[in-house]
Amino acid sequence: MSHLTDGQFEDILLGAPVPSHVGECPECRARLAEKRALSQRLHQAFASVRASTDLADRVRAHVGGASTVGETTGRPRTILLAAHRRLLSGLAAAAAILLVAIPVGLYMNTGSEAHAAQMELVSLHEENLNSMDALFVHDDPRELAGHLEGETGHCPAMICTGSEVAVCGCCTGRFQGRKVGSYVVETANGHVSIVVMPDTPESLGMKPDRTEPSRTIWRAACEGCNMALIRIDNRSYCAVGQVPQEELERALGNLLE
Amino acid sequence: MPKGTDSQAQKSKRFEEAALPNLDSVYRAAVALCGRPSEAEDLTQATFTRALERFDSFEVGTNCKAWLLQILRNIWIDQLRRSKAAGATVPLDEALVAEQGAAEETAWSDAEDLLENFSDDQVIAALRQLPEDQRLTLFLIDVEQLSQQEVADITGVAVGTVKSRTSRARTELKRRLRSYAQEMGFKGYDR
Repeated sequence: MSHLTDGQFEDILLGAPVPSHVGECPECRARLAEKRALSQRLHQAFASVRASTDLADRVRAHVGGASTVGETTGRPRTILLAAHRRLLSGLAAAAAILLVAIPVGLYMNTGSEAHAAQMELVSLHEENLNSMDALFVHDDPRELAGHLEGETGHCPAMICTGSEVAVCGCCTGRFQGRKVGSYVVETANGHVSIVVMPDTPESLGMKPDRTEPSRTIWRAACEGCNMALIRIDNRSYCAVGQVPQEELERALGNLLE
Repeated sequence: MPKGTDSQAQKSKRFEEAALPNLDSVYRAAVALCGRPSEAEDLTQATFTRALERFDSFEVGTNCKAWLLQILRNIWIDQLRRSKAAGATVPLDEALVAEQGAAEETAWSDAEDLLENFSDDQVIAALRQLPEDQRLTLFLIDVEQLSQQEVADITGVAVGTVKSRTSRARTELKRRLRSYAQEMGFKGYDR
């Protein structure tokens, strides 16, 4: 009795009939189950990966604009963000060299930028607490997410209401010069802001904790506030508050994908 | 109106109708190839730009997604060649990885449960560590669920090569995941 070849397994995964041998051979059955599980897990891993609204808008604008730009120049204009970022970071690096050369005792590095970003998140949280009366409040989490989508162009993951944490509402603020949305929730130890932004945890200087098997959680602490961050759909959801890390992570746990 | 006399506006409209519904698929493929969201967005935008420029060569009624993914692959390969020429580090050679993975024999008996322990990011990160051709082939088969013939057309190889490449990629993906699991102390991944 010869086992199935790799090619036969691939054909079966694409819909070919399963040979009767598989029913009689535990080894081939296990290999098929494993290959099928790997295939399904990979498919599932990409299920939530979607082009951002920003990208969709850029591509649409580019395609729509080609009718005018293309006719006058013969070639559509392309703006590539990473290329621009590289150019900008090159200019920034040049500026940094000049700053170091000037003896004013100033210096900048990635660490200080990350710290500044964390300080900005703490300020954003404080602003949220100071304007609780101005929060958009609704019982239906879909309405909250819809409100943030209308304000920021991105529909965030929804947060559970009626669970261990009470959702006070949502609002928008400025972070790194951009409009970002946040949920404000009340935990047993105080209020927490969950800020939704495209920035990566690395750029915020946060450290990953990979002991949680289902999802990586990044952590930081700044100005008396703790921070915990998870990634959903290429967005960072950063919980900020003067509460223990566990509370922040519990609040993040209420985000539904 | 014959295709050749389309105005630019009509061409843009036809392109929008045919190509834009595939934006998510193209972006996903870019994520699989590039990793960093900003680079994936740039690759996606470059793909649509080139596709629009060459839209006259697209045959209406054929698979637009496969056509876009072929363009994406070509742009990606150009970028890789430039990176290699510039001395940047590139993923491991396919043959070397295949050799490393050749010892993989025993199947996980409870694969579905074991795989649920990984986050989506970890699975995608493991895929990204595969050699370029294996990575794209496995992505197109498992995620985009294209046929072996379509993948062969996109990657410019024979169907048999697609089949063997997919199988090797799957073995290598398992090896990478097992390595993650061991690093994180998960139980049940030692086979």
